[in-house]
Amino acid sequence: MNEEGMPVFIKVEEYKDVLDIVDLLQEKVKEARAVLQKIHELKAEEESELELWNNTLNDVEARLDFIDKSMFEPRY
Amino acid sequence: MAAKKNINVKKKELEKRIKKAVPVIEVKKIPKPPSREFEAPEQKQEEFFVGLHNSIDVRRNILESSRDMIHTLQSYQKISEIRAEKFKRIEQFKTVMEELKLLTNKLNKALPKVQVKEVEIRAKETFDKKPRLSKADVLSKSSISDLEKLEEELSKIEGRLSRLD
Repeated sequence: MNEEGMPVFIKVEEYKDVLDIVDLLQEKVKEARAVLQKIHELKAEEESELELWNNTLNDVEARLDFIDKSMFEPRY
Repeated sequence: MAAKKNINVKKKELEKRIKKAVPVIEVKKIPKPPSREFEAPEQKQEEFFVGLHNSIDVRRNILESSRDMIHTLQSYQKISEIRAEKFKRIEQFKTVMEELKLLTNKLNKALPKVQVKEVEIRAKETFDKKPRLSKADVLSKSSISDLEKLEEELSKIEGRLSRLD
């Protein structure tokens, strides 16, 4: 039984394998982080485009209000 | 020459016969009967106009709105490209996470199995006690979705973690 604080011994060959796996894991974590960063960037880009749509819609609404007022509140 | 003359004569005779055979219809102009309706004297309908004093602004607003709509449609193309790229990246992320999972399992196997022994024995005992699965059970088991598999794996890991505490 492995009690807390007791050392665990690994064979040298297996230890090398473990180190290799840890290296690979670190590389993969870096890769995952980079991909996640790209996803964040794309999401921000998408949101800014949607914000642009929102602003455009607001502008068009305001213009339409102006046109509506001009049409239905004529001056003689 | 004589033959040509004969042909022309025959043609003329034929035309005469045709004219006689087809009755000639004469078209006559029938005068219209006088209408009984009362013809009112022509009245000019009054036309009203509404003054638009800021017509240039109205026109400018319409044009600007059209321009903005076109910009929005152009940006729609852009947004769909961004989304496609994003989904591609999400798939890539999923692949990397799967690789990470495999490597973690490998690491787990590479470490000495000191504490797991007891758990393995218990697991074997429970496996032996289980009744054999029927064909239908096997089929239903194979159709377990990936999500359920992940759920199962998660509960196993949680169990291991609780045993470590």
